Amino acid sequence: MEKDLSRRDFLKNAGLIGLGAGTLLSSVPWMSALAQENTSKTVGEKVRIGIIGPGSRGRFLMNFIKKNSKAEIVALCDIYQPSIDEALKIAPKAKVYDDYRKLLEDKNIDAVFITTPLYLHYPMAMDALDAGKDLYLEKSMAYNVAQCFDLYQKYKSTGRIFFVGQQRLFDPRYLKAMEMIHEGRFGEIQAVRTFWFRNGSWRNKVSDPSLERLRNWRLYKEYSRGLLTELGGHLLQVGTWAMQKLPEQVMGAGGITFWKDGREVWDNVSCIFSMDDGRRITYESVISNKFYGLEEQIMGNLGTVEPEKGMYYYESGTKDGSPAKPAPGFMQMMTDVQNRIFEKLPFAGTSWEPEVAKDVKGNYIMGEDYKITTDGTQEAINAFIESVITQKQPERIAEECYYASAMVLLGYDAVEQGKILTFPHEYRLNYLNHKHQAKQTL
Amino acid sequence: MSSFEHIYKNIDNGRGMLYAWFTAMHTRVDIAICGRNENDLKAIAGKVQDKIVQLEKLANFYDPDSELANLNDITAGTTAEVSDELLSMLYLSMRYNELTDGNFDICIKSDGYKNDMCVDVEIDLCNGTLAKHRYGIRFDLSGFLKGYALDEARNILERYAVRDTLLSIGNSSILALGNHPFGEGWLVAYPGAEDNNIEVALHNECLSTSGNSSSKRMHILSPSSGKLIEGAGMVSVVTRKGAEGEALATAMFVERDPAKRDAILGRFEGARLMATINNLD
Repeated sequence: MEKDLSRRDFLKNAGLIGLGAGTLLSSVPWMSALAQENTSKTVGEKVRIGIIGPGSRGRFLMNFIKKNSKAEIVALCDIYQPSIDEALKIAPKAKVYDDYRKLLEDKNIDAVFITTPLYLHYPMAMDALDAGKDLYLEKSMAYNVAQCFDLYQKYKSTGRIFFVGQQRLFDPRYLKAMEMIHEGRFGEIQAVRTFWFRNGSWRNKVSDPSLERLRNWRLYKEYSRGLLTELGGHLLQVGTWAMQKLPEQVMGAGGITFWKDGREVWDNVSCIFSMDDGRRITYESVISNKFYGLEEQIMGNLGTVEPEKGMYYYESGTKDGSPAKPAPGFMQMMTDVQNRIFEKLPFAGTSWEPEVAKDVKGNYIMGEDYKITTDGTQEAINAFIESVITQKQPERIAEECYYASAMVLLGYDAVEQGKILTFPHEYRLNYLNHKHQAKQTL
Repeated sequence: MSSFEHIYKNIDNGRGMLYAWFTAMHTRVDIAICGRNENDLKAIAGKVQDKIVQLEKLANFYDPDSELANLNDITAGTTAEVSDELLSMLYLSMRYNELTDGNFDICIKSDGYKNDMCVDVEIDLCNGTLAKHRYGIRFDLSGFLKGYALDEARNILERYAVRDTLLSIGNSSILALGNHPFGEGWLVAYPGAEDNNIEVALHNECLSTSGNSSSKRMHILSPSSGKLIEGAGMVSVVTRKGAEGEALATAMFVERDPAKRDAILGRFEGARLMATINNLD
């Protein structure tokens, strides 16, 4: 009961309850899986799930699956026994495999979650779809753009349910922010500046040197594409979601500037993704300074949104000519009320005249009282489970996830090659401004 | 369709204060509304916004598509059907013209203006019609509309049993209903002489201010001369109704004779003249 209540709260916060197939659902159709009118029809159903790769991320997702009464974790697969041991604490009745292909042969499994190192995503995901399993694949989709495209085509040809772990697509702050952005409240989005800064080695401690590459696979190019695929995909997906446009080109630079510990992937990287009209999305990560943290700064000619902070800010005027800023007297009153103070409001006088904005204080996307209780992961998993039950793939989610991965992988190639790369036409989908062209017709 | 920026502060048990702001009637509108949850307060503020926007569309002197503009286009000797809402505004305005000894006059922008033009306007409330009996009569409700909007907003708030609200249209037309969450009434301050703020406590009242914020910004016509009133200065009045506040503030700014002012003020029950400031510059 508690789970249902929290889900209702989520939908209410996201503006979904009561909207049915209304405005919000038309722009974020993947949320339809969580619409109350749909979830009420699947009560009593149970999806049997296998987890391939229950490492730290896998177990993180398992805890969310456990909270959904319509799902049951029935199988686990890993070659690293400590991960299996920890995962069995979450799902004690799960059958254990050491070969994922055997797990995929299990007819008692409806769907699989693949949370393995990046280089394994493609073969395992292809096999899972071929085996008729519905698939929740942790991001990024695959190791290179060609693999992503292949996998997308496999999803289309098999007709299975296919989600990738882009949980911001289900985060209430992001949903609300995008609704406001797409209403034009911040004008036309000119640029999106994204960054994710940390100060840490990104390295797991290893007791036995023979386990180094297994445990620290993220640090080696053979298995990983580094910060771009592990962090950048989330941010860039937000950028194209806001702009409703996909980039034409990407350039970038990267290096190992601080953590010179034998790793092969960059600890300092930047990419610029440019649209055909000159607008751009930038991505930057440094993992030896965390001062600026994590953000997507979505910049329209009328205002800026920072969804991670849950804030938005106006420039000196809004599109419809509304006063951009709250009145100082009323703002003072709101502060007084917060402090339970009754004071005079110095604002009355002759008719107001437009002023020039100087200091812009932010506004809360979800209201000041909103408490962050989810980053969207629970809802993404719930939506996947609902989709498996109904066998209805929500619109646009596979495409959003495809481009989130394809962009960062193309960015990786641009940095690696030191070139400005154009998004290959043969790897474009017919989505937003992109049109697919088979290679031989070019 | 309402659309505004807002901030919400929770006060206790899901009840809070919502502050919303938007543009209407060529100015900014600020509303602080209390006592419900955020969604309810947003919805009610939206109703208020919708009403203000609707009134603007109906009675905007400068909008050629407004009903008022169409009415201004009819020729002398013609009788026109008028919507209830516009007719009630015009009727009230004519009444306030009488009560202010002609110092408040919505006909002031008529062609060939004379300060007795109101007498040649015939309003038939039973049949919902208006007739002009003189050439050139045009009505400008700009100095009245904000106050009337305060009264209409009050009706909406009462319909939804909202007790505590502060609504400002352009800072010069203020409705204070009920109480601040942590005090009695609402304390509003406005600029007085020599940079001293004047403070007034409002409780179920309106504060209307009329005047020139600077000597370069003149916008009020004198019915006696038909010319803009020069010089910086302002007058504030507290009234029970917003519409009468607009008429009275204008009249108090136009009429400079203290005895005549007192006579006019006495005709508005409960009205208080708060301040007369000259030389704001």
